[in-house]
Amino acid sequence: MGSILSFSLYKKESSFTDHELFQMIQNGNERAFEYLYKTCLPQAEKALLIPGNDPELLKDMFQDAIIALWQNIKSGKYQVRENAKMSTYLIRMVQYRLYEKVKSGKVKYEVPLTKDFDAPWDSNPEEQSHQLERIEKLQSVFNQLGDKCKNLLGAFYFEKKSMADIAAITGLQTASVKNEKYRCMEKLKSLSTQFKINSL
Amino acid sequence: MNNLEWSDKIDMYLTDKMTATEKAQFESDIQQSAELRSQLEEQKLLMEMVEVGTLKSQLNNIDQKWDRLKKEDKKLDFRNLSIAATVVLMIGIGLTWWITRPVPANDQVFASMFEADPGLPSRMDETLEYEFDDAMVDYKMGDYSKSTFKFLTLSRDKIKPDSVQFYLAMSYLGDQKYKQAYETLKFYEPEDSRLQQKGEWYLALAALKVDQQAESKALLQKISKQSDHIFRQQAGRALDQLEKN
Repeated sequence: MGSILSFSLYKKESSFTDHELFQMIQNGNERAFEYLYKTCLPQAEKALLIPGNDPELLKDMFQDAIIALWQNIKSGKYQVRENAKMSTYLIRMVQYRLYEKVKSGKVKYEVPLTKDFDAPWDSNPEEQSHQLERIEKLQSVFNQLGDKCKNLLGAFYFEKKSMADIAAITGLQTASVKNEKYRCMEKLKSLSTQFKINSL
Repeated sequence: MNNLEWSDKIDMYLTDKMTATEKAQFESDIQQSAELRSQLEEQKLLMEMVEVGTLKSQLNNIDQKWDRLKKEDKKLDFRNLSIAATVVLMIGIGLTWWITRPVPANDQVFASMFEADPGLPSRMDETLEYEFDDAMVDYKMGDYSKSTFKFLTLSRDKIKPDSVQFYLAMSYLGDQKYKQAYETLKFYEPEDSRLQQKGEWYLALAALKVDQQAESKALLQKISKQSDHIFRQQAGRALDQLEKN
C-alpha cells in the first residue's frame, strides 16, 4: 500500500504532445496507439459513459475513431492545431457517430451532449461519421478471412514487411509467400464483392 | 503480363516502391487502360481493408493488455466474506498507520518539489538517434524500467552521453531507485550548462531520498544563490521547507 501511495505522490508523469503523437503515428509507431488508448479512452468514458450505456460499444467506437485519426493523419486531412486537442477530436468523433447510430435506431445508447458537441468542427461531422461507418464495413469483410491470410496480408500491407522478411518468419520460400498473398487477395476480393463493399 | 504480375506491379505503385521512370510508365499505362484503372481502385480498397482490419486487431490486443493489467491491479481475492472482512480490517489498520505515521522531512520535501523532467521530443524516424528516441518514448510512457535498460545500453555505447546519463538518472528516479539516481547524478558533468543545472537540482532531490540532507542543503543553497539557475526559485522553496521541518 505504501509503495502505491508513494508512487502516486511522487510520479508527476511526463506525456506526449499532440505534435509528437502526430509524428509517431505518421512513422507507424504503434506505441502512439497504446498511449492514446491509455490516456484518451478514460476521458471518453468519463464524457460518454453513463449508467445503462454499454462500455464495450463505446470502446469499439473509440477504436474506430483511432483508426479514422490514423487514416486522416496519413492522408493529411488531420493537422495538429493549438486550440483543438487530439483527444477532443477523438471523443467528438465517437460522440457524433454514437449520436447518428442512435438516431438511425441501430443501437440504444444515451449520448450525453456536452457543451462541446455543437461547437464548430475542424471537419465535417457527417463526413467523419461516414468514415467511421466505412471503417466498420471494411472490418466486417476483413474479419471473414482466415487467420493465416489476415496475418500474411497484415504483415505485408500494414507492417510493411518485405516478401523476404515474411518468408523468413513463416519458413516458406519467397515465391510461395507471393502466391499465398495473391490467393488471399483474391479471397478478399471475392468477399468484398459478396458484401457489396465496392459501392463504398 | 499475368494477373499476379499486374497485382505485384500495383502493389509496388501503391506502396511507393517504384522508381520515377517505372512510376511514369505505370501512370501512362493507367491512363490508357480502363481495366487497369479499375484494378488499381479495387486493390487500393483491399489494401485499405487490410490496414483497417489489422489496426483494429492491434487495438484489440492493446485493450486486452490493459484489461489484464487492470485485473492484476485488483488481485485482492474476495472469495468469502470473512476473508474480505479481514482484508478490509487490515487495510484500515494499514491506512491509519500510513496517514498518522510521521513522514520524514526529507520525503515530504521531495514529494512536494519533485516533478519529472518532461523529456525531449521523440521523432521516431529512421535517424541515427532512433535508439535514443525509442528509450525516450519509454521514459515518457512511464515505462521506467524499460527506459532505464535502454539508456544504460546507450550509455555503454557512448551515444549522446550527456543526455543519456541525465535521462538514465531520471528513469531511476521515476522507478524510485533513488540510490542509483543519486550515484548517477553525483558524477554527472555535462558540457551543456542547462543540463548541468538540471543535474544539480535533481541531485539535490535524490540526496534527500538517500538521507544525505547536509549535501542536499549545500547544493540547494548553491543553486538558490545563482541568479541564472533555472531551478533557483524551487531551490529556495525547498530550503524553506527543510528549515521549517
